[in-house]
Amino acid sequence: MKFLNPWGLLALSAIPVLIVLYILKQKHKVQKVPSLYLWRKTRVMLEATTPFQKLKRSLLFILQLLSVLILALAIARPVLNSTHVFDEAIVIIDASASMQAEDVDSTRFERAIDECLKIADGLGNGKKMSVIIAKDTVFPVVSHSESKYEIKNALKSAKCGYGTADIESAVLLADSMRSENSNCEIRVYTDFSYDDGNSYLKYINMSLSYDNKAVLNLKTGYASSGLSALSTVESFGSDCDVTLELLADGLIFDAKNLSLKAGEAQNVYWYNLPEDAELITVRFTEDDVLNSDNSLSAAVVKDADRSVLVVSESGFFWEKALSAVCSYKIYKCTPDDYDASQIDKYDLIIFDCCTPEQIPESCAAWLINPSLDVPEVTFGSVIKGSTLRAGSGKFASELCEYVNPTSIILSQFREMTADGDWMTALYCGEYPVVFGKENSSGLILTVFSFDIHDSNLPLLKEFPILIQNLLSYSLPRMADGDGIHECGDSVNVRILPYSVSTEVERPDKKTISLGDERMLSLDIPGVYRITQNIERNGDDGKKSEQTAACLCARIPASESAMENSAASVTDSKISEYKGQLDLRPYLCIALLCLLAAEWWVYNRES
Amino acid sequence: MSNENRIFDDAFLKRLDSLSLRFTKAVNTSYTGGRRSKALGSTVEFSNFREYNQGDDFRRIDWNAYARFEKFFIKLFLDEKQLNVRIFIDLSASMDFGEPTKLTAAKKLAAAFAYLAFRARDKVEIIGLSDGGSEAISGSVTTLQGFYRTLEVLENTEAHGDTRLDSSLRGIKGIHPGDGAAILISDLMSDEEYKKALDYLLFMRQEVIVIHLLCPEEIDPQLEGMLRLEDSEKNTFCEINATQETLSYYQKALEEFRNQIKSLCMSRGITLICASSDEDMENVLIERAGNTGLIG
Repeated sequence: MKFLNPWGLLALSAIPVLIVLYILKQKHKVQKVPSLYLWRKTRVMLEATTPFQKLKRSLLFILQLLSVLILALAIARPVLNSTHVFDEAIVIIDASASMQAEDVDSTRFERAIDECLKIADGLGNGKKMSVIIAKDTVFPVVSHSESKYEIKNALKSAKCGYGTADIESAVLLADSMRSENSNCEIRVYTDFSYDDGNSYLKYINMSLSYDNKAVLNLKTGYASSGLSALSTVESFGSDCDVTLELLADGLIFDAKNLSLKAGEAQNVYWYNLPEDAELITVRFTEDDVLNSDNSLSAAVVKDADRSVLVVSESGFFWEKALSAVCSYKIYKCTPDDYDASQIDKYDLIIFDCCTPEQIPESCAAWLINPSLDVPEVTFGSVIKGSTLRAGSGKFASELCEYVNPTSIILSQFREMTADGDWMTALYCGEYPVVFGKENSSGLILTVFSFDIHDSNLPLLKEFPILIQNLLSYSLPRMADGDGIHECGDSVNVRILPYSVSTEVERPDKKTISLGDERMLSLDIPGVYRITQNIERNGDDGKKSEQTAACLCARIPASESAMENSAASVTDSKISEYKGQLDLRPYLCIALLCLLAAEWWVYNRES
Repeated sequence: MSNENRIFDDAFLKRLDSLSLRFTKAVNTSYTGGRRSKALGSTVEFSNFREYNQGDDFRRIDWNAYARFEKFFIKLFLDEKQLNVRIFIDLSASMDFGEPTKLTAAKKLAAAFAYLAFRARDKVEIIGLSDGGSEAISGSVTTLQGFYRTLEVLENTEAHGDTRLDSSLRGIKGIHPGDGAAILISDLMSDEEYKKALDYLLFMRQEVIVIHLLCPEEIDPQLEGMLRLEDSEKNTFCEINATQETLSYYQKALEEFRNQIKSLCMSRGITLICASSDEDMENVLIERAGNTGLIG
């Protein structure tokens, strides 16, 4: 035991003063009586019947002495130490999604914060504390601080995340902080089980129960029977019977009773969902320790809303390739039938070996081996081809994702030169063969300098991939991915052509406006509704419309699974850290009791 | 002397005139008096017959008996002797407490007993006891003048010293076995001393009467708080916390003390009269002593 405020022991000097006062006060009133004969007998009887009579007579004094003693101790703030006293405590708090589990009085994270607040309260003079919050990224909220106010403020304002926690990085950071002061201890408050690495690194497991079930995945799609969904659910704790319900656009559409076996994922199929549903949600009706993974939403992807026009004399390859990779509506016409006035109906026009009189401005366009020059692009002589290589830049990397350009061989191509900021995706030797450019409306114009028949592309397995990559680049969705992301991810929101503003409604119903910064951080689970306001110039003036899309975020599957902690399921006790125990509250309670007893004795005696 | 401090007034004297002291034991003294004696004498009270012996007063021959038995018989009569009534007053400092003081009450009682004894032609002595010794407050009272002088001396007697009844009594000369009655007026505030004193009086074949006199401060002490009690006789102290609990235990001790005296007196045939100093001593004398048969 040691004292946080040893000067408080000076209050013990009041004890001699009290004793002197007691001795001075001892003068009894002298009363003359005829004889002490009976009084002596009385005293003998009193002492015989009440054995602690002498003690009782001094009880008030003893209580006063004890009160002064306890008051002095309370001021001196004694603390019970652990086996070793450290100069600094570095605490790492796991702020991953699983720390939101409510298997203790509050959440695991709140309990960890409470424990750290206790440590902060018990900091002695000259002792320091650092706090590291471990989320996907690791950052110290307090570094080497002696100020309890600062530490406690930082702890109270810390919030738990919905992503993963990079504990290893946090420990590395703490280790580097420890290098400044070797006599310090690192405590990691987490719900995953780790072995204590060494004497100064302690892992404190905050979890009590792992009885969790989660909706792990949800996919939607159109089949012959209409809209259907596939959900995957799993129980990570014990076997259980649950009710799973499906909501279409927020309305309950179907429910199923399931028997889940521990640790076994189960797929649940949902058929004949409403065709016009935009958002499908699957959720458990019962709560468990971690509720944030009990429901999962997915936006219904409707490719059929998009249409592609293939302007070609034959166009067989393009039609097949497009139908293989997407479910867009594909239209086809010959160059002679091409009507430039109707281009607003299409999202993409592929000109195969032909050149329009005017390059479309209101939709994306692919010009495959155009017969004539196009603005800023000039074609030259035909050159004998060879294998291709990828260019540099974003256009090239996106186009060549999962594609090996060297496997593509051209028999011949035309020399192509461009003025302006065109991006080159592919080269054949020194010659660019695929150009791309974003026009003033943000639409992509892609120019190929070779005919598809002069290449081995139709024979390659990369062909549909290349088409898919080109489609993704030319007809971008508002956001990357297929709709379900993990918390902690950042998603690039694509600004659609003619978009004037982009707003995102978060799951917590807050609306944020995306400006030039297109990255959307998915920090909480739920549905992010992205709305872009589009203004197009039509024949009849400006035309405004809104386009919306949904992004869904869920907590990482590893957080639901808590697999790493499965080994300690049987050990259901929270590992208590025996740190410094401040005895002041207990002493204050004892002091209050003593004062109450003193008051009672005083009243009784008087 | 003011009437208030007087231990006797004329009205009380007149009331006493109608009363007399009654002792149960026969006296065995040499002086003729008014009390029945075991010895045969010349009173008119017949006792027995005896054959005439040479030298007997032939005037006492019962001629009627001679007529019947033709033998000389002499009629014997009881004798009346004078009783020695010794009144012992505890003069220790503890008697100087109460309102009126125990000593005042003791003086009144002693005077009353002395007057009654004087009226019965007994030999009365009032003796003060203190500090293990004794002091004669009066000599033998034989005349009314002498009685009044005794009263004056009694009134001027003051309490002092401590109580050592046994030592005091043993130091008194002139107490002969069976020669009278001893009236002890005291608070008896000692443990073994008063027992030894009473045993000594009984050993001297005295008819013993004990007046146990306490004052209101002893019967119901009105004390409170932390007190350092000082003994009035000895320079000793006792610290007490005068709570209700303490006072209740005091009452128990007092009751035990009184019971102890009562049982001692009963077992030894001692007449016991208990009184408080604030009581009317006439009532104590007439009613309480009357109930015991001492006065009638």
